[in-house]
Amino acid sequence: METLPDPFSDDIVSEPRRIEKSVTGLNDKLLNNLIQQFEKLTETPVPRRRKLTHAQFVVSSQAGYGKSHLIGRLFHKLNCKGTLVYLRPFEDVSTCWKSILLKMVQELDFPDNAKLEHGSENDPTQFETFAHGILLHLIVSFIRSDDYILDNKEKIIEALRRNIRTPATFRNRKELPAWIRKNIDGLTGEFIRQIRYNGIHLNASPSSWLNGLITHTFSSELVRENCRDWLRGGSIEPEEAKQIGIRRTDVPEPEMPGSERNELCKDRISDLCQLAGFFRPFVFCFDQTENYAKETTLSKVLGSVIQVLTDECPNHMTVITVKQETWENGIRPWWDEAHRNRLSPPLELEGLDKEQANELIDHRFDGLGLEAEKTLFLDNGQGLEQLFQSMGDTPGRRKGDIRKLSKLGIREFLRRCANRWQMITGMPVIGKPPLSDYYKKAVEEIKTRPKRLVFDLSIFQWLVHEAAEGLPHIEAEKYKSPKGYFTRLWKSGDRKILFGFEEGGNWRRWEAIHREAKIHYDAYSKTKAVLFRTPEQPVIPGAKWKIAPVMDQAKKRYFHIMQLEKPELAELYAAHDLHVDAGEGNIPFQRHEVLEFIRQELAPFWERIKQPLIIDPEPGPEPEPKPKPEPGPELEKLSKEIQGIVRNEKLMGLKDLKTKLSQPVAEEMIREALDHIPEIKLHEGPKEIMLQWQSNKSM
Amino acid sequence: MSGSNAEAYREEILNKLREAGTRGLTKGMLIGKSRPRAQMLRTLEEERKIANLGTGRSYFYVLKEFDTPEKMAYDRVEALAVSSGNRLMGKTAFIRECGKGCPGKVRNSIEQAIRKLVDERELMELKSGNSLLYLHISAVHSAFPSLDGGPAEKAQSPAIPPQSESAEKAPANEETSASVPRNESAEESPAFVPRSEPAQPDPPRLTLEQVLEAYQTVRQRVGFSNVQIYRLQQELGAPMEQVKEFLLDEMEKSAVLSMGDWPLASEEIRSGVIYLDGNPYLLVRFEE
Repeated sequence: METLPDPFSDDIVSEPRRIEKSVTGLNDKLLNNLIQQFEKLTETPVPRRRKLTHAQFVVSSQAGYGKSHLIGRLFHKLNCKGTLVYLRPFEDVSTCWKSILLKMVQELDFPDNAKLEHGSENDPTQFETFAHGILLHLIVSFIRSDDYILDNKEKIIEALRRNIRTPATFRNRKELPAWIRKNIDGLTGEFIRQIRYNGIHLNASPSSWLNGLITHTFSSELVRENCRDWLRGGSIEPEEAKQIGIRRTDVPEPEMPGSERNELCKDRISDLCQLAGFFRPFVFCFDQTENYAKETTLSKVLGSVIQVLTDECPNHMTVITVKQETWENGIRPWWDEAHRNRLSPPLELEGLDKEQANELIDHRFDGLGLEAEKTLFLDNGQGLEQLFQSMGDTPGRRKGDIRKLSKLGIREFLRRCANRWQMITGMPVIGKPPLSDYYKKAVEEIKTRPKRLVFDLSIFQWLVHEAAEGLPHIEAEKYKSPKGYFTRLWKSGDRKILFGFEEGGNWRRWEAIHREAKIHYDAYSKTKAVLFRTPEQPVIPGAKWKIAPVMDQAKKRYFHIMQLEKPELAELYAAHDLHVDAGEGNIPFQRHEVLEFIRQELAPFWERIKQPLIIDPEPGPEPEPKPKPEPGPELEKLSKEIQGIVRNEKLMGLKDLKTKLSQPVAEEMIREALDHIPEIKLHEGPKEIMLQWQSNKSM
Repeated sequence: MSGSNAEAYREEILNKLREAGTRGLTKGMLIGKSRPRAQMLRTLEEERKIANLGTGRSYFYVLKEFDTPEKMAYDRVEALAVSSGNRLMGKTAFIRECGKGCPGKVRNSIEQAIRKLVDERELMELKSGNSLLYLHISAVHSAFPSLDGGPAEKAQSPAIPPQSESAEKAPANEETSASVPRNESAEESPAFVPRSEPAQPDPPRLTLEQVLEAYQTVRQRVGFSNVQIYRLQQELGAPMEQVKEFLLDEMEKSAVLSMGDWPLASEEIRSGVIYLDGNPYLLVRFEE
């Protein structure tokens, strides 16, 4: 039998930039309400500093009423009017702002055209557009100011606006970078003047922000990545900061503890909102909020996040969607009154009436070439009538009465349509599909969305904690290492596995993380640290890092940097999506059923984590160290010279040693020579590598 | 608190609560005055592994699986009502007696539990002047062996013809013995406090105006236009079945039912369920 496509099978919106055409009138009032709120932010000329009094509180009475679809519609309506940020739930309260900022920066990488999920090279990203908008405003303001002497200013400004209207034309204007460099002081002055005049407060200095935006616009991808690192609250090298033009005081310490980093991320979000006053407002959409209801602290912190955004961040609109029962039972009880007061009166989603349902059927059949089947499906209007009927059973009363319905939730309607479709096409009626089918679908779907296959802090935190909690012989718990680089711990028999989550690529930060891992390993040799890396991130350690040899050695014993490729990442992220879907009521399974499934399905992943990097040395003899290759004559000469110096000094720094050598030698060469001198022990300190002479090690 | 100590405290607290089961433990019994244990207690509460059934400054902990104050209140009321035999209990004294020694959240659920037992016809609510009195149905079974329904009676007596459909569906009226199955022998029994009004054969039909008024009141209170059917029924003070009937009839016009979230709903909220095609609907909204 020929298999016909099921026009009604797709009933979950998993990506707001990918939504189907909506039906006339459905939830239009609510959508218009949101747009009106957004327009309040743009009523005054730039630079703006407008705040909305409330976060917009969108409520649905049950799953499948179109919360995510509404966000998609909002994105389409505000296309090129707002900078749009879709926020999936954070999983750890101690890194809530870090998660939000990371998502925000990832969302800024989406095309500015909200109707596109993946743009071509000519489609500017939201961040490129954001930077272009602010810079264009400043350039025009500066030219208009008295500080810039020029005739026919307005004519030139008009020409300028025409010629650098888009981010692409702006970026490709060859003379522009030189002009900006020449006038950078004037531009900075104008920026600071406008900031002061309008009472705008930036946590980082205005010049750092301005230079960051300029550099991001006109530089190579490598430098842009450094800009993004800084934007994410990560640390960058002093030379890199200098290259971008970021002030030293605005570069975070590489060893910044986790809690401070989280605060810094909050400041960055606040700054981005302040900067949005020079261009267009942000829209933050908190969706899938059922996930917060699973833990009291998550619910509480969501409340304080909404309060901070509403009170402290101008030029944005926050939208939070929630299911009514989830709100009443799982979130509201944990919110203080102050948090609740930050929400607008509920904006309630409605179901479809018959007319709208008819339109939805038209949309679903559109382009499928199933006209005969459609006629049969509609059956002169009888089909629709039947879809809006139910058997009303209340215990002990008129069982089986046919009841007519006035409205239906979208997903419920599509489910009924799917049943009717199976019936009229004679397709075999399939019962509840197994969870594995939903999982496969989720994996396939994620694979089609490359923008999602990037480092997702919240998902990794969830995987090694909540998802892993029921694994046999594993005790997964929250943990806080002294420096805060490791926040999850597994105990497996006598072994300990620490988990850290670092998205950046700064060598000093990684050195600090490694140092903390080593402390744990030295204290208890059956410990290893695991850190995840995703394909878009630089490989750790970097080839040119001076700590690379040490880190490479550590990677063989206790420092497990788990490099994940896209297919594996799709499986892990799909597992999380499935869990969230279960919580939202999008699939006919409970969260615990999904967790049980995931624990089995991801067995190779868990095994990869559990495996020790080396076989534990205690039960058997230590493996024989590989004989070192004989040094060449040059290296031998250098070794002897180093030996003499360190023997005399007993304890000295590597930098000091370099100055005492008879001729300049590269550090790699010195390290290589040191490998052949067993009497010298290296101590890698935070700022300096110390060399210690140990006479008892003499051969 | 070191990692290993924390782990030990966690296990200790969970083990104690596991042993205590639904009885639970006060804070003092559970952790004494130990600060690190208090910290672990907070952590476990935040992780929702345990729950505090106390209110205000009183603390009474149970494992999360026993965080069922409504059910505890229900069991408590039923146990006390059964053990009171044929002694009629005035409302205030009954509530006070039921709440004795119970943690705050259970105490707060006592009235709801009484209402539920009355709705389920396990507990009889009788009116004497301005007072409400309660009696467990088991007392009626033992006092009047001919009355059908008691398990002991079913075993001992020859089969008694079932009550008629209309009698079974007899309305529960606030003014009368709301939960008493309509039965002549019960009405005539001297064990019953005389009613202030004679029983009505059928409750007055609900009107749309009445329901909309109640709906608007609940809507104002909860802040959403989708309100729980249970809350609407409570506001109307009408029998649940009558409310459900009304809503089923009104569905074609202005009433829109929604499922809500069954797993998250409490027992009371679930009592308002209407099944459509086998699916549970807990919420109703009236279109303007």
